[in-house]
Parts: sequence; structure tokens; C-alpha cells
Amino acid sequence: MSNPAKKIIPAGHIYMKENVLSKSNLTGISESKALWAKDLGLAQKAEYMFFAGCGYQQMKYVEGMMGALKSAGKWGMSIGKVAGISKVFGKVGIDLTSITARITASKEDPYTPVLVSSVNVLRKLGLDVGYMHEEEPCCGSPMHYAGFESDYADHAKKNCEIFKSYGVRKIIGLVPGCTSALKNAYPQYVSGFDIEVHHILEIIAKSLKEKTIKLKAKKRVKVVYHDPCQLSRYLQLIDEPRQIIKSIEGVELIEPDPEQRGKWSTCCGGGGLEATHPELSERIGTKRARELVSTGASLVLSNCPACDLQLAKMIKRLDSNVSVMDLIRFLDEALN
Amino acid sequence: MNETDLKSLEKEITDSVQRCWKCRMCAAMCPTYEGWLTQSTAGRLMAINLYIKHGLGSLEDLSDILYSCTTCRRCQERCKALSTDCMPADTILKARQYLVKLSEAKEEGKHE
Amino acid sequence: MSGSKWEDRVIDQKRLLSDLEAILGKNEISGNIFERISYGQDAAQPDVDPEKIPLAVVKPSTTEGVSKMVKYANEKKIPIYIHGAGTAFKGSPKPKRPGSLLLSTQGLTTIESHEEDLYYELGAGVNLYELEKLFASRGYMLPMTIGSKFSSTIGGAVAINTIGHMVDICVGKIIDYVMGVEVVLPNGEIIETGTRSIRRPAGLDHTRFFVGSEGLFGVITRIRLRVLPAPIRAYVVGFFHELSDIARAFQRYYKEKLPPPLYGEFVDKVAAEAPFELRGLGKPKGHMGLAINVAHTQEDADRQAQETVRIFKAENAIDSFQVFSKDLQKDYWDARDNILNILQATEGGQRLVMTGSVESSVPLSRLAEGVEYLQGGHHYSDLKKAKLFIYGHVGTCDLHGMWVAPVSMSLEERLKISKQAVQLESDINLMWGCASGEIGQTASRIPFFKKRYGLAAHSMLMDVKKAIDPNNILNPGNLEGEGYE
Repeated sequence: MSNPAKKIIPAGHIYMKENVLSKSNLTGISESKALWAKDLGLAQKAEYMFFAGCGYQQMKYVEGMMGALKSAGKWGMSIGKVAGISKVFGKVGIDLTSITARITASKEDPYTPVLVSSVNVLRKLGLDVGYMHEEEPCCGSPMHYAGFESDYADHAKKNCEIFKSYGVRKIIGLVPGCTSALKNAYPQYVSGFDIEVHHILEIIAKSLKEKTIKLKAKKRVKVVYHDPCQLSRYLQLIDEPRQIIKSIEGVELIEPDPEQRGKWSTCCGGGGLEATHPELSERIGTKRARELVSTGASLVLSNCPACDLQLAKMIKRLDSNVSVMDLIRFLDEALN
Repeated sequence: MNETDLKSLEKEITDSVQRCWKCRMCAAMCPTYEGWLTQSTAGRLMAINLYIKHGLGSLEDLSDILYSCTTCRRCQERCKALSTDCMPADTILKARQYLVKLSEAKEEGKHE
Repeated sequence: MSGSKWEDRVIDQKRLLSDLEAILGKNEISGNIFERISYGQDAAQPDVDPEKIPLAVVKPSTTEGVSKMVKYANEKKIPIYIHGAGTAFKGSPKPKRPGSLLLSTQGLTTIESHEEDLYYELGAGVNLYELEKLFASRGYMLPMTIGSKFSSTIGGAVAINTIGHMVDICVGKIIDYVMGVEVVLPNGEIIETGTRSIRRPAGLDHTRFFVGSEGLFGVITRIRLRVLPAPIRAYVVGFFHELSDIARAFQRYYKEKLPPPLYGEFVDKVAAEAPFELRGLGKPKGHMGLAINVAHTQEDADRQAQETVRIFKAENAIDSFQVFSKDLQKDYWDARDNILNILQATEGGQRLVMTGSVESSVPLSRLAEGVEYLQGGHHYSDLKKAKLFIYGHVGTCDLHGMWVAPVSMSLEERLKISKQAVQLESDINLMWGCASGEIGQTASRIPFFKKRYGLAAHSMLMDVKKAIDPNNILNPGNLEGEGYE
């Protein structure tokens, strides 16, 4: 289809939209995104349905995909062209995206452990969740942010049918962006939307308050918490992650400047922007990395796949020894 | 149907910007602001407003400006706390929807 | 534009941009239409006039760059409109003539400490909020509080000679702290004024030509600003049945010869509702009066605050007390400071827009009378149709009024209200021989200026302008009051 949209809508957004519509996931990969859960024995139906989201499940491919797209850019190939070539191969039955992604997939994968930790943590707190495995759809929010509102609305309605068929009444989301889409946006597009949507940190914070569980860090550490935009401003979960961190023995929580934390948290520039404006994304990320590193903490905790990826990269570029870990993984280690 | 969609989006966007005070405190909060207003919330709002009202500027430029936003919503928090709460972040997303609908209309040959 | 008097100034934009790039380099100029639009607007009016959008925006990072830019414009007779952040809302930042250059001083951000001589040297583009924080960290207080401090610059504040909310007779106006300036004249020459001693020149000190000159006589590029040790504060809040009671309270305060407070603010009960709610302060018990007393020690500040409480109560305050909790101090202050929050209220389910505003000063003896006149003593029928919020710096005899209307009101009706507001503002200033004390006198306020000081005084200023800026390069149209006849 000849696409005047190509000049007006950035190719990266069109690419992600087509992935969501064709494969119901962010990267368009045909391979199952649920492999991480294969030995966890999660039922497909339960009172609380765990919604893992594409982020952590596919971030290792996203990293590879971004790398490939950026190199393609260097060779004068636009993201659109890469997607186009991918389609051509697709017509003859070769899933180019999967192949490229697997070849370029990051060897060090800190994302799968977050998914496994999420389930572990919930189980240790007495909550056995369900998981739709391969049937888990993409929430579709990349389309919302790109402006494909009618596609997004249709996708939301379709997803709700899927949820209904699984008898889903309560959702615990992991990726903040997906969770805010399900909680705040879906009710606007789907009439009679009556699923209770929670973010995992909400559930964990509540649970820790009610139970007396010993949490101890593997070794004493100074941490700083980076509020992801989606958690602090879209979901308004600002105190909960801090309550969780403060309840871990051996952890000293250092806060950035008041105008750079909580609801004023500085954006890390990760996520979609990397695909459309890579240099700008890098500059924004470097600024935020500096803010976090200057607190004197030796560990940055966050809870968003895009932030995790971006901050790890940017802090490394500052030649800093400060490490980045997802809060859920840190919590899982402290619960042992 | 496209026409009504476009018109109603135009009205929503320009109504929001009418409530904007041009205080530019949103720009001070915007992570993409590096000294030039077009790469900040304030510039984005003014650009889409004047594109709709006077047809100024090119769609390509407008697209670049609107899509360089990270959708972090820091501006919207600031506008609510200190200014008129004209919903700048939501307006920028609406502007993106507007561009999508415009490009769809162009494809159908309905618009110039 | 056929028959336009601007025809002989048609400038080839491409040529202009390549000249500018040769002078300043690519990073300091922009010809992008959207960038130019952004600078063509200010807070007062929603839209820019498409014919008056500047041809280019330039942001020199050095005084030399500014000088070269001004010299070029002077030679080619291209108008320059000077911006700090362009947040003044009396119409002065907007280009009045087509084919102009927008010169932003936001690139001049150097900060040099000379604390041993009690001053700092600042580039005109230094942001006010950053400066406030820097001074606070050094034990100083920036002697001004501007509502738009997050965006505004020190250069802009000095060009207007404003201290925003603060009380003039407590701290003075900013000119009292400006020991000297570096200025680029309309012909491009760079000159210096003033002194490095805290003993400032008596007699002819050409610093005074530029501070408060509203960009008419030169581009201020650097400011030598004396530092002021931060005093200790005590906060007082009072709630009243009548706004004029608050005015009477401050009249009584000064009558008793008490040391002037740093701030004396008031805001009407209805205006305070939305900001109060936003901050969890419940519903205001009445119209709010707020004072901040300052002294060298907490003890002295508290003693003054107790006097303020006594005086508030003597003028029939429903309640008045000193606020000790730091959080509450911030909340009450923010509720008054972020007055734009009132535009978040709705009326009949519709959002509100500002349609007209007034900022007038009165003599102390007329303070209560001035408030009552603003409330309804005037005869402007369209103003009485819109909703009025009164607030302002009552303690420094400076009154604000804002008229708001639902978004659905037609533009023509809104313009009528806006015009009447300007006239009411002028009337109040004229009634008792005053002038507005916060955002300057040019552009939309020239009709008032002519009435207040007479045509001879205005002519004199036009002659001075012609002598210093013969090609009328800097902010042309502002002294003339073009567009506001």
C-alpha cells in the first residue's frame, strides 16, 4: 500500500503498529514469548491473571532489533525499508525478523529473570497467579502513542474478548506501560470493562504491609530509585516502590533532587523514542544517568523494561560503576 | 466520516491551546527541551495550533516536532500544579492522532 | 500587502538566513517556521498575527554575537524584537512589524561569583529559578519573586525593573541591586556602565538609561547584581469577610510604622478555592490575606508576625494566625502564587479562559477604596458580565484583577472584555496619579502613559529613542503603542 503516512508518521511507529496487528507483539516475532514460564507450572486460569507484557518478554530481541535498525540507518536504510524487506521475505515464508533478532539477541539477558522473579515474589507472598502463555495479547499501547487511535480501540475490544474467554476478572500487570493501558485506557474504549487492574508493585507493597516477612539484601548497598514515567505519572505509584525498598534490611535509599523524583521524575528517554529519534534519546538518557549517578548510590533500581535498558546503557557510557537492576529481581533476591 | 473526525480533533486541540497561558513552564520541565522551543511542549502546542488555524508550516516539520515528544507527561503535571491545566501531553497525543487521520485522508484522496 | 508602508522592507529570507549563519553559525539561528511562531506569541493573546511572525530566531551565546547581530540589523534596517523568555503579558514581546528578527538572550548564561565584593556577574539569559536556587544555596536571597520564574530570565526582569510580588519599600526595586550593566547599543557598540563598589555613582549613571528601558535603548547582555543576605521569614495568614478589610489591615500596618513585610498578598475567596483544593487545604474560610515578615533573627521575624496577626484581627479577620509548619507555609504561598490554577475551575461544565486583566497601583491612603472600585465601582458593562477574580500584592499597593469566561464565549465578546479591562486598569492608575508596578509601561499601556504623563512627556521619550536608535531597530512599535491605539 502506497503510504503517504510514511512521510508523516515516523517509520518506527508504523513498524511497531504492524507488528502488533500481525503478531500481537512488539517485535513481530513468531517465536513464543512465553518460554520463560515453561517450567513454572502456571495455570492458564486463576483469580489473578498475571499480564507479563511484551517488554520484558521481548526486550532481548528489542535490543537486537534496535541495534539492527540503527546500523541499517547508518547504511542509509530507513526503518521503513527494513520492515519492507522483512515483509518481502515473509511472503516466501522466511521470518526475517525472528532470524535477525535471534542472531543479534543480547547474550546477557537481564529481562527473563525479572519475569521469573515476578512469579516467585508473588508466590512467596502467597499469591498464585495465572498466565495466558502464548495467548497473552499485546496491550497495543504503541499504537496509542503513535496516534493510531481507531486501530488501538479495535485492538482493545478484541483483547477484551480474549480476556473474557479466559474468565479474567483481575489482572496483575508487570510492565507499567501495559498496566496503565489496561487500567486507564481500556475502560474508555470498551464499554462494560469491569476487570480490576493492578500493578505488581501495588500488590507487593500491600502484601508486605500485611505480612511480617524478613527482607534482607545480599549485602549492604546504597540505592537510588528511578521513577518510570508510566509508574509515577500514569499510574501514580510513587510511595509503593519506596515502601518496598525501605522494608529491605541493609538497603539505604538515597533520593535525587525533589524536582527529579516522584511525580517530577526526569524521563530517561528510552522506549519508543529510541526507534524514532535515537540521538535525542541518548542525550536525554545521559542527562538522567548523570542525575542518578550523582546521588552517590551504587545501584539504580527501577521497574520498567525500557528504563532498565536505557539506564543500563547510558550509565555504562558514563564509564560509571553504578549498576542497574530491576526492583522485582532485587526484591526476589532479598526474599530468599 | 473522516471529515467529522478531523474537524472534532481540530476543535479539541485548538480549544486546549486556547487555554494555554504561554507561560512556557512546561518547556522548563520537558526532557527534550535543549534551548529551542519547537523541541518542547510549548513549541509543540503552538505549532499544531497554528498549523490547524492558519495552515502554517509543513506536515513533515510538524511530524518531526510532534514525534520527538517522549510522552513522559511531566509537562502535564507542571501545568496542573502551577498553571491552567490545559492538558498539554494529552493535546500532543491528540495532535498525533490528527496526523494519522490526515495521512489516511490523503491516501483516500480527500485532502490536498 | 499592497499599499503597505512596510513594502520597502521586503527581505529575502533565504539571504537573511545565510547572512545570519555566516555571523553566528548554524547552532545559534533558526529559520524554522514553527520555531519562529513560538517566539511570536506571548501570554496575553492566543494567536500570532501570521504577517508578523519573525523571519528568524537568533540566540547568540556571547555579547560579541549580540553585537554583530545588532550591527547587521541596524545596517539592513531590520527590526529586532528582544526576548528573555517573552513572558510579559502587556503585548510587549510580540513583534509589531513584519520582517523582524527575534533576538533571544537565553544563550547568555554565564555566572561569575564576586562574593568578596558582594556581587555576581550574570549573563542576561540566566534563568530566574536557577538563580534563586543558587543564591539560596549561598545564603542570599534574590530580591524578586516573579510568577513565571521557571521560564523567565534576569535580563528580562532587569529590562523591566521589576521585583514581581515583593514589597518595594521592603527591598527596593531591582535597579537598587544593579551595580552596572553591559549593553549592546542599537548601532552594535558594546558599552559598560556603573561600578564595582557597593558605593554607587551619584549623579549621571547611565545604568539608569537601560534598567527598566524595556529593550528600547539597548540589549542588556550582562548584569552586575549585588547580593542580599537572605533574611529570616515568618508567615501570617488571615481570612476575611471583605477584601477591603485586608486593604485596611495593611493601611493600619504602615500607619503603625512597622517594618514593611517582604510580601503582602491577598486573593479573593472564590479564586482561592481551586488552588486550595489542589493542595488539600479544604475550603478557604474567607478572602485570604498573606504576609511574610522578615528580620535578621527568627525571634524578630516572629515578633513582627504577631503584630501582623494583631492587625489582621483588628480589621475583622474571621481568623488569623502565624503559620509555623514548613509544608503549610509552602501550601498557602503556592495557593496564592499559582493564581493561574483558578483557570482550572469550571463553570457549568465548561473550562474557563482569561479574557481581561488589570494590574494597577494606588496610593496607600486609597488602598481600600481602590479594591472597592475594582470590585464594582466602575461602569464597564461588559466587565460586569464576566467573572472577576481579585488577587495581588495589596501590601505593596498593587492590585490585580482577572476576568474569566467559559471557553465557549465568542472571540469578539472576549476582546470587548479585554479592551475594557485595559481601560479600567488605566482609569485606576489615573484616578490617583499612579502607574502599574510590575510588568512595564509600553505596548498596550502607551495610551495610559500618554494620558498620565501627557503628550509632551511621551514626545520627549520618542525623541530620546530617536537619538539613541535612529533607525528604530530595537522593539519598534512598543514605545509608539502600535496596535493599541
